[in-house]
Amino acid sequence: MHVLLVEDDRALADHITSGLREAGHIAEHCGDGREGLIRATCETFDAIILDRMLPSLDGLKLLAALRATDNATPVLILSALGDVEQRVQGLRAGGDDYMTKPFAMSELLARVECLGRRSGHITESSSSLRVGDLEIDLVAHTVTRAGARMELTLRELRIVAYLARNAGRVVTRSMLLENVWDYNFDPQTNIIDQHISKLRQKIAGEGRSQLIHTVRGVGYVMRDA
Amino acid sequence: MKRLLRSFSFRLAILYTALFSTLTCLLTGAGMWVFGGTLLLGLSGGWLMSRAIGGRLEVIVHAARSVMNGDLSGRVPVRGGGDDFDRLNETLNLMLSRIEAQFDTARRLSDNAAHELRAPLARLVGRLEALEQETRGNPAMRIAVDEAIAQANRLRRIVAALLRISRLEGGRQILNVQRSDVVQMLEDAVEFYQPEAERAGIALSLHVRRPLIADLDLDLVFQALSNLLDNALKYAGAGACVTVTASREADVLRIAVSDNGPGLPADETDRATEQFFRGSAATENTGEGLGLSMVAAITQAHGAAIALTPNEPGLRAEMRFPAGMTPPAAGHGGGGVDVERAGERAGPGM
Repeated sequence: MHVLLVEDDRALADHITSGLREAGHIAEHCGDGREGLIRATCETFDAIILDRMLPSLDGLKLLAALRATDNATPVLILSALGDVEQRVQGLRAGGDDYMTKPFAMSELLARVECLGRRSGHITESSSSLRVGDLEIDLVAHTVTRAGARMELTLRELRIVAYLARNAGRVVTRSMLLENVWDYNFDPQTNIIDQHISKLRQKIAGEGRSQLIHTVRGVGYVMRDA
Repeated sequence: MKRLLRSFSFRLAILYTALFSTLTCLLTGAGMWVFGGTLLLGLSGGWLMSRAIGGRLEVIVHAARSVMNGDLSGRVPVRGGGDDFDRLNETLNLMLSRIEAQFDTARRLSDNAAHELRAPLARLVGRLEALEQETRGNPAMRIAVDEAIAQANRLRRIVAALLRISRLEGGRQILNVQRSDVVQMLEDAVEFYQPEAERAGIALSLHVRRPLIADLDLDLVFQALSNLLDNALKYAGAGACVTVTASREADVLRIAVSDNGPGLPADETDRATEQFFRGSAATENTGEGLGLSMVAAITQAHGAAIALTPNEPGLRAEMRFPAGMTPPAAGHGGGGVDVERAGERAGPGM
């Protein structure tokens, strides 16, 4: 992926660009808002990582200007401003995802990769998802494995669907929390792990292969094999 | 001539006596009047005076009360007459201003400290992660780095929670109050914690009657509920029961999380909502000691209160949302629907 990072903190920017490069992406950096806007409009990127408080042009104004030119490049806002209202503000301004500083690099990578895919070719509107022999019918709300129907709660169905939509990509616990539960909150313990372990038992029971894999220290990935 | 003189002096004496007695009589009457008048004046004056002083004292008491209740901007009005009261009030106001300024400084300091900690913390996590990449071949080193990352993440959570509490307490977080289905929220919370309860060997259940509608900031109240459930599941112990209940009595909405575990010692109950307070049952891994202060800040922001009471046995944590947060009951015919569920259930939508 070709990623543009607009961030004025030099040390942090170095850390992010090297993290992105290590993960196999092409990362470009720019430390100024106005220059960032020029590069974002003139060049084509798969995703943009955008700080909010920038010299010469505020991050949200940059985003608004970018969206005003019908540029739909996925933007992840990375900011120290982490209030619920500030998140909402960022997403309303046209951001596709919002992350609060300080963050874990693995979390940022997972989110950027999911964002890049969002702009890709897979249509979100498809009514069914398939990973290996697992099939999810989003209309009938049913999940089958090799033709056999599984009894899942609606919440478990949402977890499976989110993992399947991002099949092959790492999904972090907070990404699951934000996308599967309808509340913006911060649980103190890793409750998500308990949900996943219950779900795994249902999906991989009776000697079937495991589809949900743990990525140590990061989250989960759904993959056949 | 002598007789004439005698009779004259006799008449004069009579006249004099009569005059004197009339005068005495008059004077006595006047004295009575003066005395009565003075008494009346004195009494009414005293009453008026004490009323005036009482009124002015009342104003001071009112201002002191409002400051005590958390409105640090409360001041005593100064009339501008330059009397003793005005001088007293001016002094009091100066004192209040100083207290407010110091409070603001303290609040800003902790707020700024938390805020300023974020950037270096972000860089610290970054450096540690880079280090982790480099120590792939050295398992012992890697464990040490992982531990350092875990501690940095813990620090990150503390800073985030502190900032959130400080914003709530300072009234700087605008509540997103919406008419909400309380039962739905409680079902979602119980469902969220059900797998963890099963893992811990605790029976988690919900007892509530539909409909229960209230004007709340759903995300915040869900957060508070999540912290209460988290605590209950951590401390109640295997084999215990944790129950979530909610009801509305006289327009007060009560949401309670009760358990029948070991409970909280009486001397810890009062301090439990203090920041960083960790009870005697807390261990290294149970948390940062901010969960209940967050609940207290969230309820306070709603004009509500949190009460921790013994459940005999166990602990009952109850959030009480005052009237006004709860709209008048919608016209529903007959009784509501009893919701009493434990175990499997799912929320709405896909």
